[in-house]
Amino acid sequence: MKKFFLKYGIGLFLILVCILQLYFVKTQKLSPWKGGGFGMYSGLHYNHYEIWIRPSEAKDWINLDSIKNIPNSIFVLKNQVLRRPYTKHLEQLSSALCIFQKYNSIEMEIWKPDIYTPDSVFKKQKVAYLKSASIEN
Amino acid sequence: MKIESTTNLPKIALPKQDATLDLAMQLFLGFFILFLVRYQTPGLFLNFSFFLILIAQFVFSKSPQKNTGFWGSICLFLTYKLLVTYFQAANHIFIALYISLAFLIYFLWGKKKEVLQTNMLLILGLTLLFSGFQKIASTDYRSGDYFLYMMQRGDFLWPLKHLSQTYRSITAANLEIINNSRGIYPEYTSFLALSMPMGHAKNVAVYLSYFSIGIELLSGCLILVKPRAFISHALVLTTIFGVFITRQETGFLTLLCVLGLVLSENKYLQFTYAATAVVFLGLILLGVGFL
Repeated sequence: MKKFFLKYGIGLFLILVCILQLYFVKTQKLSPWKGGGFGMYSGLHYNHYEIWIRPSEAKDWINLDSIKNIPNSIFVLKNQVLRRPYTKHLEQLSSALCIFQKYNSIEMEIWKPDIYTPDSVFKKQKVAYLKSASIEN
Repeated sequence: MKIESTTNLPKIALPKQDATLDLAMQLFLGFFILFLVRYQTPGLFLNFSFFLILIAQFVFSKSPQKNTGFWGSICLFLTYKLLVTYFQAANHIFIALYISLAFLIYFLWGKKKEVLQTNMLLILGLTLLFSGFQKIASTDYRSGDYFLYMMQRGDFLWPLKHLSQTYRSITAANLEIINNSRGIYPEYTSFLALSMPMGHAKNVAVYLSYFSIGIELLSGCLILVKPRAFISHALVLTTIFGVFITRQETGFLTLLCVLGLVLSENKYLQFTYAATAVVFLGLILLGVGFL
């Protein structure tokens, strides 16, 4: 038994990590790139994604990248949203932005280039959104 | 009872394979030191402290890399990093942990080469297989659109940018369109028309996608079934060079070279693995490669 684990333990651990990663990809929208050692190139890298926000005070949508001098704490939350754009992370980022930019509430959308187009003319596709979030969230 | 003096013990010449194993451990350490310098999440203090611990081990021990404690400390450090930054951890941190665990098991339980090589071949073979399966599951990759988009941006087949003026100017123009589009709310833009940087670009992208999936699956299977065969390692090296021209994932590729080095027995293959790993480490040092 001991010899079996010494020889095959790492292989079994690797398979377990793979199952865990696939589970997170399915349930928490984790980027397939974060694939436990084998995720690279299995989809567009999340750095190509865009975060758009619309504050209740403004009419137009703003790309989050256009906001200058955002603190590191928001930068960390932003990367967290890009890697795993699921509701809880969107709410955390929205709340932090409301505090930092002094907004009452904001809407948020995550877009990615829709590269699966047979005619090679690219559009963008919405992958996640948050209808309205305020500091309380 | 006659007790023999230790100085009279016969000298045993190290088998050739041990020199290869030493080289593999040194290359891994080279990677690990660069990793400590470059990958500072969650904090610089932790990396600096561990760096001091590593130096202390080299000062107080002749060959610390042949000790259980040395590999145990690296495993603990990487496990902590992985637990704290699990969802942001890059692929090479996972592979680095698997390799250090394999070395730990090797030194902890009787230095059985058979056990080390089984662990190494499982890490390399399963990683290549799962990587191939992930790509098959991805519609973007299967259709060739991933490669095409990266080609239009100039990220894929990047050496062509240095060879062809046309390729360079078309990809630069495409990148400008993409970057400009980031300033316009996506619902206001109907589509992005990007130019093809070469003739039959779509076909090239589709064929390369199928080729890379095929090579990865085949090399993964062959490494698991015939870990010593020349063809298995030739395919692994093809995968390594293929990934390199796609994106300079030099940290991850250095680790694949370390795995290949431990598994191969052909001196030309060993030289190719070692030389490639050295070049990749050099590129990381120069800031060209990713880590």
